[in-house]
Amino acid sequence: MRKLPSKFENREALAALIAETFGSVLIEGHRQPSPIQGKVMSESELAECIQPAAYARTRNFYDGAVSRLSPFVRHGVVDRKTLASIALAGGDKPAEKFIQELVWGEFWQHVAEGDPRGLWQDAEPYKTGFSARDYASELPQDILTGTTPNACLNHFIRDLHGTGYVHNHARMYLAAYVVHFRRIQWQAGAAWFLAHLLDGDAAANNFSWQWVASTFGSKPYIFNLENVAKYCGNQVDCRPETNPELDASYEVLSARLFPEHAS
Amino acid sequence: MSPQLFWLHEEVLSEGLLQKQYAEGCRFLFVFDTVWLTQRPVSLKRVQFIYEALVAMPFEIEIVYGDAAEVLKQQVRQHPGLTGKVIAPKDPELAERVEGVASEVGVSVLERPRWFASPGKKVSRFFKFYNSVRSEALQAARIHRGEL
Repeated sequence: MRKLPSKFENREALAALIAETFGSVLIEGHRQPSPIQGKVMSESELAECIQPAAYARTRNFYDGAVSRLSPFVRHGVVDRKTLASIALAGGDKPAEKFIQELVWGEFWQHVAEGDPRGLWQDAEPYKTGFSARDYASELPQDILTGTTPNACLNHFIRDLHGTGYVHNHARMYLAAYVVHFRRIQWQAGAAWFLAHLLDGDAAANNFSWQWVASTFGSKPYIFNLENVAKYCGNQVDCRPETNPELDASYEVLSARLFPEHAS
Repeated sequence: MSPQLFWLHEEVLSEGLLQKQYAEGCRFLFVFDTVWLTQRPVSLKRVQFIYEALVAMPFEIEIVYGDAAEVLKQQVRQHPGLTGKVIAPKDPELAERVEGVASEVGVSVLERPRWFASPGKKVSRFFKFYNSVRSEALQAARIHRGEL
């Protein structure tokens, strides 16, 4: 065991100390600190991050008015009730969507408490025409290194590895790609996200992966390039020629990804 | 007599919670628990975020890297008669680890604070859950704000 210091010259010095002390238990590679810094936040600082009306309109867009406070909620720096109370300052109606999002976190906790085994086991069978044994158990190198054939997904993987934060919509794209386009067990993707996300919470993360996979929901979630371009196109490379696996209609993709189901 | 020990973990880095509600007069210990980190590996970024939040707290926290059970046993050896407490984690796997260590070394596990009471029975669809808790959630937030 080792007592650790509480003062550092700068963030890089802290990163070096962590790398040296924690080396064997950290995941390999990715030894740079996130640009998102852990800190205590005042109520006025929190209020600056919360724009309930804009959140309701734009939350699904890559550059939408999301608070980005999830790492602070995950580690208890701030609690959801406090954020809800700040959001309510502008009135009930504009705050509703933001508060709903906060309640999602409590919902996943409720689900996990009712079924702790569901954190890592399929809650239900896949509704894809495949059984669990048809899915690979490990992520391939091109996903782990952000060198898939699709530029937009590589962009999101760089977000994950570089910052520890990924927009919620991009998380769904990545999860659907891993599970349905590459036919890999959701557990492998969930563990990958949990290791990197600063807000990685097993209940919300793993049950969301199960929802995308269709093992905690009635159908698989899929997406296509048109959808990514709609929500992320002004920030992310969504050209068809650089995203060849995603450039198709939902009908074509469904038939390609779930041929057993279609037949 | 040693002050009571408050054992922090990765879900409880709240200044207000620790100062006002649960831990007034306690001394604080955070353990980067090697057993937990081996079970649930994370990146340097995640460890650094937690570390930075810890050192930003307006009170002193002893930060230790090691097996949490061994660290707490050493604390008890160094401070005979020491009593300690910890808030129960939400994560079921972390809760199992924390509660196991707490039981081994005689640390009390406190129920974690909740925004609102969960529905008594399992609800597996979000909007059913939301509709059943919405009123209490909003009221609790308003009370927190001092509106009620």
